[in-house]
Amino acid sequence: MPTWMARAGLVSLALSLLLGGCSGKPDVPSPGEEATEPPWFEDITDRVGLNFVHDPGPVNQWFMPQIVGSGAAIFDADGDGLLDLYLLQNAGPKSGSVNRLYRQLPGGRFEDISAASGLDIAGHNMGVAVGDINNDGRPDVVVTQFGGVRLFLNLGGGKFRDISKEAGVSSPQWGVSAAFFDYDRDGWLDLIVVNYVDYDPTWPCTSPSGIRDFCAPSVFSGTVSRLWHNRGPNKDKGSTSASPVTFEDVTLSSGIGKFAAPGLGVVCADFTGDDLPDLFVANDGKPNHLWINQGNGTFTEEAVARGVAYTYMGQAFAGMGIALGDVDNDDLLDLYVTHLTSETNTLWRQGPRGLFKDQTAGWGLNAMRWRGTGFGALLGDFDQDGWLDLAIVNGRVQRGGSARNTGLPTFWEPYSERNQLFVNAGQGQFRDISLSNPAFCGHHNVGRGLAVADIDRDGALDLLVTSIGGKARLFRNVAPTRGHWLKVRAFDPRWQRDAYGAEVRIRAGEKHWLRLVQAACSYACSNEPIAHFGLGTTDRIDGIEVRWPDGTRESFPGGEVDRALELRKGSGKPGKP
Amino acid sequence: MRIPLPPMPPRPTPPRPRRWRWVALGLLLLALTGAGASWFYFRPRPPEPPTVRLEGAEPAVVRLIEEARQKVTENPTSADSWGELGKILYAHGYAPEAMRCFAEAEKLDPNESRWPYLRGAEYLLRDPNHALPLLRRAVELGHPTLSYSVAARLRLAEALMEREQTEEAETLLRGVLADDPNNARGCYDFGVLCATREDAKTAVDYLQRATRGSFARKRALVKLASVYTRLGNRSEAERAQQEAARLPDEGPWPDPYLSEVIQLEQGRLSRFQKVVDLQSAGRWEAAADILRDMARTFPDERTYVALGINLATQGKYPQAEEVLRTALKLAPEHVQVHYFLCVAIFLQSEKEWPDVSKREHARTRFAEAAEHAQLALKGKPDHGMARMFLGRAQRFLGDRPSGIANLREAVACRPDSSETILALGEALAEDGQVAEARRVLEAGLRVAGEKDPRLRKALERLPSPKPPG
Repeated sequence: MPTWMARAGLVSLALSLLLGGCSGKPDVPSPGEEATEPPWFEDITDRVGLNFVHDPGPVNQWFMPQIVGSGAAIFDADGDGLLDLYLLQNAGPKSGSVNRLYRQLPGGRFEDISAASGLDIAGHNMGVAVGDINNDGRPDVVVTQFGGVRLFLNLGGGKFRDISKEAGVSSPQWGVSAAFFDYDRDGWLDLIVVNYVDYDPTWPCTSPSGIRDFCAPSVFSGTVSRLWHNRGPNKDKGSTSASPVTFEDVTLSSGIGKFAAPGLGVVCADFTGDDLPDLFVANDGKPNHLWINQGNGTFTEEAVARGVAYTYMGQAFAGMGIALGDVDNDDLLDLYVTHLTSETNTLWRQGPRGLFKDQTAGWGLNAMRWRGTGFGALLGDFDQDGWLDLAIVNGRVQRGGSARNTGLPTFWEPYSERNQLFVNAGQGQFRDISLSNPAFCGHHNVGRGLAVADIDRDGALDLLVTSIGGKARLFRNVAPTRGHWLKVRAFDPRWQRDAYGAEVRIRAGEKHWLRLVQAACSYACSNEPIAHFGLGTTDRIDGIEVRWPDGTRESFPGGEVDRALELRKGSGKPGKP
Repeated sequence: MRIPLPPMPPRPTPPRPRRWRWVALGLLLLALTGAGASWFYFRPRPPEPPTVRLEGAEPAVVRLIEEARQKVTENPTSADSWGELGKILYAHGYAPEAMRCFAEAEKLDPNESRWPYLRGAEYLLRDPNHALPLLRRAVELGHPTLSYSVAARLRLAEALMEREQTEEAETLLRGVLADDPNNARGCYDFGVLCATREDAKTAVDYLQRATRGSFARKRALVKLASVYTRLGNRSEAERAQQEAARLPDEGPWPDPYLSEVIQLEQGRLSRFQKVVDLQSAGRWEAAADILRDMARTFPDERTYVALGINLATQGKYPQAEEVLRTALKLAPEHVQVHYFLCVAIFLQSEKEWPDVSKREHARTRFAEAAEHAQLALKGKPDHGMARMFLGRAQRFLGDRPSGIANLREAVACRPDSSETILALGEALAEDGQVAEARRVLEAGLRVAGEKDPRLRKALERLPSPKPPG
């Protein structure tokens, strides 16, 4: 065999192309149990004037990016202190369907301000990440696409400008999830974009019986994630660049380019306790990657040794969305990754630090009312009892669902599934409460994005869901017996922005909680970068500790609960490392 | 005086009119007929074999399903007919309908382990609580062939382990290992179970035994890496991880029950699978024979592309070109057809190039290769390899700046490919851009390591950098 062919991996590509099949498999009907608890969420989409309908482009084309996108972002786009919504379209660059920016008005209604916002772009838009790249206090936006990545500078007042080219951010690959994080701790947010597969739109895929369907990722070779280092302000004298900062593609030099895989989800957190942010990437049908930050601008891939590459039985499932949080309040962040309907979503608990174990079954997460192909997933304390609960949105990637009369376009109905909600009952157990939550879980959608924020500023976490070919829906938290709460904004005045990567810890007597400040989580989405604590019956806290992204620690006084705090770096009492 | 009358003889019963007899008989007959009719109407009947959506399915698959369905209709009380239909449906992606057939087969033949096993294996993917009783039943029923009974016990043990029902799993695994001590899957499962129980020593022992078996080697090494890491043995963990990384991915565990299903696949996917298996074993010509045969039954671009790739990989570029040209007629915009045509033409031209007498011809052919690369890029602008061949062809044609630009783009599309990096590095060096060539090749070396010695050699060929000052 000619060596160039072997080296280029073309043989394996060619072989996998041959087997471009996929199989559609059905839902199993759920046990017909009745709802027994009051619901946690109500659908307020229509009430607040959110009228976004996702456009995946023309059907019967079997264009694979259609089944993968799109996500959404919740952030304060115009700086008025209220959270706005940014929702992505996926109908292609020539479509009239453009991404939509909705401004929240006082009173909670939303107004479409897409026109002339600069964010109203068409394309095969997949995911979105939000972060202040130039430290001017205004959150900027990156949109990943099939065949591109677009960086938008926030000009204030809900206006944005595309600075991708000037900033040096470009990629021909198929990007999905993205995240801003400061891997070299220089104060300037860097950017990671997780790329999916090396897709060929002209390659047809079929079920085993020969019926057309979307291709499975195994048909194509995976691609490498891309890392851009934010070099800070443009220091070239006389530079006329429209971008206030420049990025350098360090994919190869950082080592991130070492392993290609079909990546879909990404989260950034310090998993090893060395005060450096690491990366966890969920790969679709291939072992996950855990990139450990070496502190010298490079990363090493250590998922296998650290126990998070494969499931308990050694399988590489179809990793899509990622929920990150400390499910057992042991001061270590755990990972929950969504998979296919025919697989099981997986909870990898961390412990000891830096090492993970699949504990899905032990935590009751195999006992669910129904199964689904999970995409967006979030850990949040929705009932504020001090334990992180779990929300998942589902939607198939190949035909086979039996739902009818869903209100979705007929083409998408066989892909639709119901969402899921689990309460963390403490004592190491989750319990499926989907049946009690008809608004969030009761109807079929081809769910993809799931974002979280306290939209109405009542101290409780609300949810935003995107689905292929369907309405984006906003769910207000109405859990009736919510406990006390505290919201912490970790703000770095030097850089005039949220301290992405900060770890916030709260103590109250014997109890303690950990939350991470990060916008990127779930699937192709950006969330409010706030540390939200449910405190149960705890009505007073003893103290707050913040481990800032640069590794410094500070402690802040405790006090009353049921309030939102802003902790500014440098204003606390220095803590011990 | 009254003379006593002699007792009267019993008065004979007057004969009933004969018509009553007939009426009674008629009623009886009617009742019997009614009962018979109602039994006939309400009698327990085997259900109708399921129907499936076959629009768009391959004719061979349609024929196979219809024939199996017909057999069930003709012999509805045959468990084998139901089971066969179920297996055929299952093999072609009609799982719910297949499950109905297996359930019927099980009803008709409750002593056969096949049917509950196949249902259990499928329900494991959908509704595990429903799956466990089926798998337990399959294990209870057993199978005269050891490989079958082992597969059922291991499948059940794994399902139980995933649900943390480890005691029952342990009993099953011990049973399997008693029957077949070197069963790699059994050793692997037992190692995983011990690792879960923090019994690292036994876990390592069994996982190491599992590394000796096929289908378990990579899995076992991966698990060993994680067990060693937890033990703090970093060097052994790294060794296991590196060894695992060198191995190809292992497919699903061998399963004789499921093999029976897979053997029934009639679609082209199953034939492609055979091609893949042969090619993986290095039997490229045998694979080409199947593809040539397929070109008669499935004469479309997919078959021709596969055959073209096969021939190109064997270095048979003229034949590959011919086949791909046939594919091109069938699918003029197919990205892979254009790409592999570009490759086949380029590599023939590259061979001709050193011969000055053939250079003009080679030049024309490089132009043709570049044209096909561009057509591939039209359908897939991020086709890194097509971009690389375009860049290389342009340089042969004398358009060196465009060549470099396309090679840069090729690296942007495929930054993980040492092929694109090498092409760019060498082109930059040829054009005297040594510093950038060095940067590119060094970055490539960081990613590829020493896997591709050509990068190191290309770096060594570069002129030494001038000393500072």
